[in-house]
Amino acid sequence: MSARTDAPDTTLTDRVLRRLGVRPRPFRALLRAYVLMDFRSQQFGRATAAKPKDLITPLFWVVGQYLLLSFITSAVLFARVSAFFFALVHLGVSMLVIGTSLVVEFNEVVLDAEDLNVVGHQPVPLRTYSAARLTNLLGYVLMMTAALNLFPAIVGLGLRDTGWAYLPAYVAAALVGNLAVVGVLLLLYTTLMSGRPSDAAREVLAWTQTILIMIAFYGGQLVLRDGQDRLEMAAYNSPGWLEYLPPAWLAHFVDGASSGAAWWIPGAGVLFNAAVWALVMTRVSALYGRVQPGGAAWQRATLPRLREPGALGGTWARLLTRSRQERAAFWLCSTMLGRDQDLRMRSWPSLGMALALVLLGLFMGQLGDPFVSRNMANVVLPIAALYLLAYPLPAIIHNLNFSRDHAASWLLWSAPVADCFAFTEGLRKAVTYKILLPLVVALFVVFALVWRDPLHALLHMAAGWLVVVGAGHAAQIGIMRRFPFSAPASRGAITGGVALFGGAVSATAMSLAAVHYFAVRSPAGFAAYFAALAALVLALRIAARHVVQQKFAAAESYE
Amino acid sequence: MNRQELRTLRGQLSLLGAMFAVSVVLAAVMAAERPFFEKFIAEKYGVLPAGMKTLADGAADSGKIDPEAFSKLTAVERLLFYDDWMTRPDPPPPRTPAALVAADPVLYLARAERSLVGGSDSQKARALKFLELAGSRDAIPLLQKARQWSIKRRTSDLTAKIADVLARLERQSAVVNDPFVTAGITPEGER
Repeated sequence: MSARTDAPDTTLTDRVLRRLGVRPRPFRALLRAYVLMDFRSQQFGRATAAKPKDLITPLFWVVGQYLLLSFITSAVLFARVSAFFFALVHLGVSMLVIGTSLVVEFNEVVLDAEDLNVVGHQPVPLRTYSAARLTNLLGYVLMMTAALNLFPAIVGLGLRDTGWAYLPAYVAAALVGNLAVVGVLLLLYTTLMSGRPSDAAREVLAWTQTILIMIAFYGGQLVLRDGQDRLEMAAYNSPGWLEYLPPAWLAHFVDGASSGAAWWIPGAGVLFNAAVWALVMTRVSALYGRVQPGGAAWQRATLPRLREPGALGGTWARLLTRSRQERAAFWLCSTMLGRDQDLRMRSWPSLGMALALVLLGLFMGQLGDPFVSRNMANVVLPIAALYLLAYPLPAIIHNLNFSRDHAASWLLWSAPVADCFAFTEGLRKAVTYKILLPLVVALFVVFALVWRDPLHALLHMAAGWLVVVGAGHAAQIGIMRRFPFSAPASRGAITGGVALFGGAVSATAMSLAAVHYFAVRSPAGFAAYFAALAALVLALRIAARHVVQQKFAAAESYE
Repeated sequence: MNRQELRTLRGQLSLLGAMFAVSVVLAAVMAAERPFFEKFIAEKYGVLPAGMKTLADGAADSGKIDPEAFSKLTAVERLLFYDDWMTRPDPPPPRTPAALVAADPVLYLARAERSLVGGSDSQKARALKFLELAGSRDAIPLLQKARQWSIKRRTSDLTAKIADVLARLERQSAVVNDPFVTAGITPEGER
């Protein structure tokens, strides 16, 4: 991947490439450029607002998240379930995550229409371009596969019912499974669909990732606290329909690796992969040949009609905003949320955590009224759900940095925005009132119905609302340092860039949740806590005003 | 490697490689420390309320449980009798399991099966004792499945214990099913 571009065409690789009809020099140059872009191109730097001295790239964070996912899953399952179930869950999660990642980041990973602007006028044969793109894609898939399967491949060796043959068998199964998933998805999109996933499909799959996050982070904790041994019993009485799923076939192969494995399973998998990838290469090359402005790979041409000048925002915007600058930002953010499918798709998953906890609480009968119940297991979920509302604000506001049309952000930089804080307030309010408020109201209804006490639900959600507003101001301090939609979305930037700040906000919120748990034990305690929370929100707002002005001034000089 | 070198492609790949290397070490440590993880596999048991204590003591003494009082209890409350029996010091009351299984066989057999799967080693042994003392024929298929599961998981000690209890229950069952024994007729040679 890091080979020199001027290498002579005498190496074995060069001869193989020539035999395949690929020109070695442009192939190497393109591949090196793609790998560079993956890690630390200007796009990455701008997308994450990373300074030139920053060493940790967004891709690093994404790989870290996948490693963390497989670490948590391994820690939860290890020593509790059989080798078959251990392999089944990990292979299933790996295949699901690699599939959803491919579809969600399809534009960045498979088909980037911007390549046309960069490579289109260069004398690069289509076959060479396709080979470089597919090699880069294969590298991406292999790296993510390694991140998702490193822990189960090694930790599984420690299970009682595995031997040394488990390791190569698991690695083979993971490779076969993930390559098959990616191959089939590419084939589906390039053959049956329009060459790229539909927006609806991408939105659904983004939610699938959310559900996986929920299972790993919260389901894992519940397994450790579960007095009903549900995980162990699920492995013990695994349902028959599991046997029909491909991960179960591969898990059977891994499970039987020590005692006469069913080698026909990976053998059939390899043959299947060879056939699918041969078709994929043909289809994707053909697709690259058709890429052109206005084509299927391009953004849709027809957009909803904008409002008339002078009528920005409706009554709702006028009620919620204080100045015209606030209203302009409110309108811009609302419009982009309504128009930009990518933005919505990247934003919704962050809401899933709070929703997931409430659903888990309902499902497990652990959604107790914290004002009444003193049983910690009964009130942890409703309180945690409340404070997890802090995370979506930074995540969504971070997403507002990116846009496919980021080049048009010069309009914002040249606009007469005198009060940058008011502008960021408009953005914050748009996210808060258009996305978080409906969620807060929905949670209020759920709590009021479950607790049969609307007053308690109202007080609970009032604290939740302060958390939301406070998190919004924290996001203004930590994230809003430039005008929105001014950075291009690039691989890994979306999930990686906000991880640290989001983690800090979540950790602070969870500390507050612990205080909340003790404060609700008496009305006076809750009143004092509520007043302190309101004071904290006010302090954050004051701090945000100072910080935003300074950061925008610095960014303006940089731009 | 200095910061400048870390910002190169080779440096970034090295950083990723380092992260993978640390993960490999962590995974190897986890794999080697299975006993540490097994320490956390144990069931927690509820405490029997004072009001139900007399019912439990009655079952322990007479081998029967008051059906009227028992029928008024919810499943969660009924399981507290099992929890109480499981936490009694050795030796546990020998007549309680039969009384409980006779009163609600499905509930208590399923509960004992859960202990066999999700309990600690000592809890699994106590659950086996429960099934043995219950003497129910319905426990035989349950134990057969548990034995297969234990063989597969290579827990040889548990497999041996299950096989032992299973053999005893199968013998008891054979005796009960023997029409001659049931009718009080013994073979000639044994008179």
